[in-house]
Amino acid sequence: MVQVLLFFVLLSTGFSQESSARLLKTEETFSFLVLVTLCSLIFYFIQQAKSGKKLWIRRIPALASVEEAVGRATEMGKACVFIPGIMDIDDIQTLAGLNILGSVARKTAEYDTDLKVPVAKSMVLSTAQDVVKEAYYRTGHPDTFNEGNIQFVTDDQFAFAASVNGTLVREKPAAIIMLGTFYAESLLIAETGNHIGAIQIAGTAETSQLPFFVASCDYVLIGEELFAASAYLSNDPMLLGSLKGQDYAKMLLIVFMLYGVFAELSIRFFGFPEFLSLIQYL
Amino acid sequence: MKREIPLMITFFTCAILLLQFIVDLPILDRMTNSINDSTSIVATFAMVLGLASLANVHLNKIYKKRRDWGYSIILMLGFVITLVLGCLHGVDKEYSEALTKVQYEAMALENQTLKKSGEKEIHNLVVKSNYYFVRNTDKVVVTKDIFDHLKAQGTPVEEETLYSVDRENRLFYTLIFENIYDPLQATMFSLLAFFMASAAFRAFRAKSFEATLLLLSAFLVMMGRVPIGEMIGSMIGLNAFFPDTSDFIMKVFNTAGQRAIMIGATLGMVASSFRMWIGLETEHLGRD
Repeated sequence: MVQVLLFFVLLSTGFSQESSARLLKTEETFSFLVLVTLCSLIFYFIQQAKSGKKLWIRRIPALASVEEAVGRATEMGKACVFIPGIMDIDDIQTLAGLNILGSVARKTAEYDTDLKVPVAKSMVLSTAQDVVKEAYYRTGHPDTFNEGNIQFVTDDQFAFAASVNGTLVREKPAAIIMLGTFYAESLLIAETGNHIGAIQIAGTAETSQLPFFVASCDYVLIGEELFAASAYLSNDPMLLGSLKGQDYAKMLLIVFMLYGVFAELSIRFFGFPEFLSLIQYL
Repeated sequence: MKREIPLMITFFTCAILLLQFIVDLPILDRMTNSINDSTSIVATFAMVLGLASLANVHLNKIYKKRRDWGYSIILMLGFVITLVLGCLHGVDKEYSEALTKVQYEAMALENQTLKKSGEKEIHNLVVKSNYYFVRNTDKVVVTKDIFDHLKAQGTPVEEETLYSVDRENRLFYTLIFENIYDPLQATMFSLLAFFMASAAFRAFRAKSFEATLLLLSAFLVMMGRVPIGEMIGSMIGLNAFFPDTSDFIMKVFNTAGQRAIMIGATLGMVASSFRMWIGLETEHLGRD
């Protein structure tokens, strides 16, 4: 981690040197500074967590309900379906979904409940298989792991939705967890899940799909909550520290936004031009 | 080591991509391109794994006659037929695309060579004309009759000759994709309208103050977006009430809410990427 900070510090000094001006893309200075600030805050809080400081994270109902969903599936003797979105492994939302899949798989392994994972990309398939396998091994239930339950369906959006809907209607799982990137298929799958009476937990950072999930699912992880989920579920102090850093970065952004609003109003109503230069820079 | 090696690869790859974002060095651009290329190569290999897994699951189901094994037969038939036809005839992306004159000439030359060597010509050229009515720089496609009429009047119009190819594998493409795949896809997409109605019915039940607000705003937005809304507005003497209110709700409340979520999500993405970069979040790497 120290190397990462050094990496950023060296780059930051590069921005300030006249001779380096041609080497560095000066148009990206602001984005870079935001990135450095954000990463420094995260790094600081990780260190705080490492030193043993207790960090409080608010309760996220959707994540607290994962156990409830798996428990319900166990009681009913039905399967639990996990869908990590329709995008490939290079999508950060898919990775966030797969990180949560590990926690879900550990719970299904402990409760001896079937976990079905239909995937839309073949690279996600091998990763998901590894994640679930590791969870079953770690909980001491390697014998109950069934590789066929993690299945590549198709990389076509609507064909994937049709296949998942078919599985849901035929097998009637008790719990459906959808975490990752979803587009138009989100409502098709979520409404089918609702019709079969499954408990549904969904999460995505796609703002256009969130209303559909809110209308059809029992619990929804909205935007950043999806990325906080793995840290929340793991309860690892270092990961929780990174969440704290993220929250402080958000507070900093809110201060910037308030400044922007204040400055804009000042210019419009009182004509204070001194605010303008910073606003234009931002 | 099974975990350390992927972590090292992640660290160095991310460092190169980040450096390329801020440092203007040709070597970094080349390295970034190589990384992107290698991603495509790995994805191609993974595709084979995916198809093998698909075939394995469904063949097992058929062999052991598990529940709903009949669907697996249909799937395997579709899989094999498409695969065989695709391997025999390939997929020609250009088949319906209009060709430029240069491409046409190149193709004509290619055909001449084929003819000389005694081989069969593979391209059937379809020549067609498009007619445009030109206003400022915008072009509107018109029929030949209107084009002739406008031309006679001295109105600025343009004629463009297009060459398209009708290749041999069109039969395969038309059969599988245009007659089976596209209608099935359209069917799935059209189901969305019905699902949207059932979801809206549930979401808009005025069970609480917030739900009532949602119902009210949905009603106003809907009225502003349908022609009948404007008509009702004009009947009660409020001509632009519904469109203006709808615009206000969408531009102010909706945009503000969406931006708040987007800012939070972006911060989450950066934090999540940072955790993966420094090797703090390793769940996705699977087994030790």
